[in-house]
Amino acid sequence: MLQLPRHQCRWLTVFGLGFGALVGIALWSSLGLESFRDRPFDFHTMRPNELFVVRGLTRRQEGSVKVGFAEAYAPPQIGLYGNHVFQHFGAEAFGPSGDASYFFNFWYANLALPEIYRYLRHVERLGQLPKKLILIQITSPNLDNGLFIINYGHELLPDLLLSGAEGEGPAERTLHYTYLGWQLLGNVLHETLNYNTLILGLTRSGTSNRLVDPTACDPDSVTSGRAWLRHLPGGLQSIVEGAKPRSYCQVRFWRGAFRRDGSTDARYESYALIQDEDPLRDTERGINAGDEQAIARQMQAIDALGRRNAVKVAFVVPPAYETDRRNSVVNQVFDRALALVPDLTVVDDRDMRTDPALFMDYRHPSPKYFRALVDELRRCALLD
Amino acid sequence: MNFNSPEFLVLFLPTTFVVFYVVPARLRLIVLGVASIVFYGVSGLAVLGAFLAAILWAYTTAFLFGHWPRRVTIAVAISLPALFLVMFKYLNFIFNTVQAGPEFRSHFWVFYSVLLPAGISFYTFELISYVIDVADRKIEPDRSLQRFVAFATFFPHLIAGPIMRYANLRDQLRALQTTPVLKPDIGSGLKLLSIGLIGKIFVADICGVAVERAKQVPLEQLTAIDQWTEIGFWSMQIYYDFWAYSIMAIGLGRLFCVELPVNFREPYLSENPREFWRRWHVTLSYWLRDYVYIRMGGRENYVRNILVVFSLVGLWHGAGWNFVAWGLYHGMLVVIYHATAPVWDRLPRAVAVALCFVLVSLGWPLFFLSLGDYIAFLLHLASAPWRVGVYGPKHWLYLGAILFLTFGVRERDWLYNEPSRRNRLTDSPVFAAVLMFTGLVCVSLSSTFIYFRF
Repeated sequence: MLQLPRHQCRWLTVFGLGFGALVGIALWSSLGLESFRDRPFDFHTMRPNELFVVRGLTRRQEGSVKVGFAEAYAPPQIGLYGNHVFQHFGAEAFGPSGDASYFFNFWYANLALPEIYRYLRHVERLGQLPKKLILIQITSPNLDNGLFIINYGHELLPDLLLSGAEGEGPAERTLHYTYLGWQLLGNVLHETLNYNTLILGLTRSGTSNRLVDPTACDPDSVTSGRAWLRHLPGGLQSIVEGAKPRSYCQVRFWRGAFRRDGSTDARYESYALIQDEDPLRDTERGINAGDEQAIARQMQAIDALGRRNAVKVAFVVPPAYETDRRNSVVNQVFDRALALVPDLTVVDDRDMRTDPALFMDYRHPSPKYFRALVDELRRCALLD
Repeated sequence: MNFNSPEFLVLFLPTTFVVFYVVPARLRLIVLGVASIVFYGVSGLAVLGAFLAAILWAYTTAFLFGHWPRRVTIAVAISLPALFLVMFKYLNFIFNTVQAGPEFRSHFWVFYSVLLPAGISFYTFELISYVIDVADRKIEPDRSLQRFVAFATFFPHLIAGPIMRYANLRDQLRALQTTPVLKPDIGSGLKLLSIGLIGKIFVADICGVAVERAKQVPLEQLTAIDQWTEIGFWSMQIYYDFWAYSIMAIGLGRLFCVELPVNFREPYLSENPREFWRRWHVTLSYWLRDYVYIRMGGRENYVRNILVVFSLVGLWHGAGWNFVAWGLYHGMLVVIYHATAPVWDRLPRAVAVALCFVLVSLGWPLFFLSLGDYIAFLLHLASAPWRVGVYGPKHWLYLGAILFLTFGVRERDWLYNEPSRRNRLTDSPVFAAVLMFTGLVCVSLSSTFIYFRF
């Protein structure tokens, strides 16, 4: 039991009411955010130069654009599933005529293997898997020191999170659902109690037509804009400028915008190429001894999904721009994981780490890398 | 689990709070123990297992005093926690130092490739202090396992201190077990919790982001102004990161009627390096004073003892030569002060504070840079041109505001003020609610507490 003096009771009541009201506003604002799954956007309808602007959308809304497309429209021949590391992997890597019906890049946020598996399970149930090849991008271990391989954030859409709930018997299923319930709770909390969701929910900026063709924009307007915005912190800039603009004919809106193959255009990003940018601190590793089993299990599950649908699956491990850090602990853990799955198709490019032309920055490969990757896929007879 | 996560603030804390006050007094420590084990266990079962094994070992072996020779018992009692500390935290450092080959390392794969258990340096020191205090007969070994587990695992201080002594917590924990009706200071607890949360996100973490700006540019391109600005941001990042955790810990303790000590007493207002270490991470300083420095003879061989103690301070903070160098740097500052105290103490207060702050700040890059990079950083600082570079007015304005908060506002007026000297802003429940909510919706901007690494 506890006993509070009168002034403490009053303090606590005011605090509780104030805090509760603010949380209520956050909840209300998150409920108002548009999901692009209710009115899915069809990437097939985009013209070659058009961009789908994502400024002013939460990361989860960005994801809903891709998921909505995956659910409602014809799947591509080749589908890439991964996170922002492969965001610049566009259809042009396969040749000049690539479009969304041949290749589509389903990347979003910081998805890791368990989330990608659930994403694919969901698409599988809808019969919307890519027809010929599923490419899975695995975050290279030395990027983020092993994070986002099996450790992940809270960015998968909640119902997709539940789509991986499976288990052998009732006990295992119960355990699985309990674990998923905890994840779901965290997932909802992180999305609802989030400054981005709050501001964008209050400004309701997601509903406008988001297509823009940079080649059709007036060249004078492209670099203009509100100069004062540049003095704000980066995160705030994207929110403020994303809220209900008059026109998307300004280059700052094209950053992160989706092309018709789901990729983003590297020309609109500002990168600094720094070798070994991520320190590999022992105290902040994302994978550790014992995780090799979990990594292998996730890879096997994704591969089995492809097999039962007669779709080839290839895993790609991209390089990071770095000196020789091949013996890092996270790389060793990952090597052990790969040794557990010798039958799977894995394109391991970690050793392509020294050529600066292959990178936009430490973590994002350049279009040149993706062309080399496609050549590699051809050599492995994964492409027609 | 992090204090700065929605799971902790929205789920774990309210649930633990309600259950703690609903159950009968005799079950309160069990609730705290279980909650703390869940809090810690979220980061991994292997590290939880090691933690619980170390606790049970210390609890059990403390009863051997009086039966076995004292020195043998001390060695046995601290062996397992110390072994875990060495194996989990220092093994890789040792291997790198002796240049052990991959073949040899592979025998120890599990240890050096397992993530460092959070707070291992903190809880190991707490368990060691318990054992030594029992050996010195300052305290009796506690027969109550639930009280001992509650002491070692109490989640507010579990991950990043303060480093508690059993004697300081024992009576408070007993009171929790026996007092039917508790009277927690909830207002003050929530005030500290919300201010700490904001301090972490909007001071420490934003300073961290500002530091990153300089890292985007090769060292050769940085100007002297850039480097001093970077040093300023590093100083503020480290201080406010640990400060924020510490006041959140105190606030959480108050919610459960446990008073934890203040670990930071406005250390940047110190006038000399010795005073700095009486204000910075106070519980670590006193731990090393009581269990190392005095036992080595204290002032009898001052220079040697100080350098040894500060080497340990460095090693405690991290397994790397840069940390050892940082510790030795501070040891040297203390020794130099010791030798020049008559001159130093005559400096005007403002000059002494500024001098001490600059000297301390010059050491912080060692927390983030290797020894070689740090030397290169200092050499470049000596020759870099004095002109504007990557940092601009918005950075200096922000840094200036934090410096004003640090040097111009006293905590006794707004943070640790007496109930009779109410601060209209910081003691307001509306202010606390707004801060808590703002912190909560911005936690995605936040990073892990730096001291979790230790």
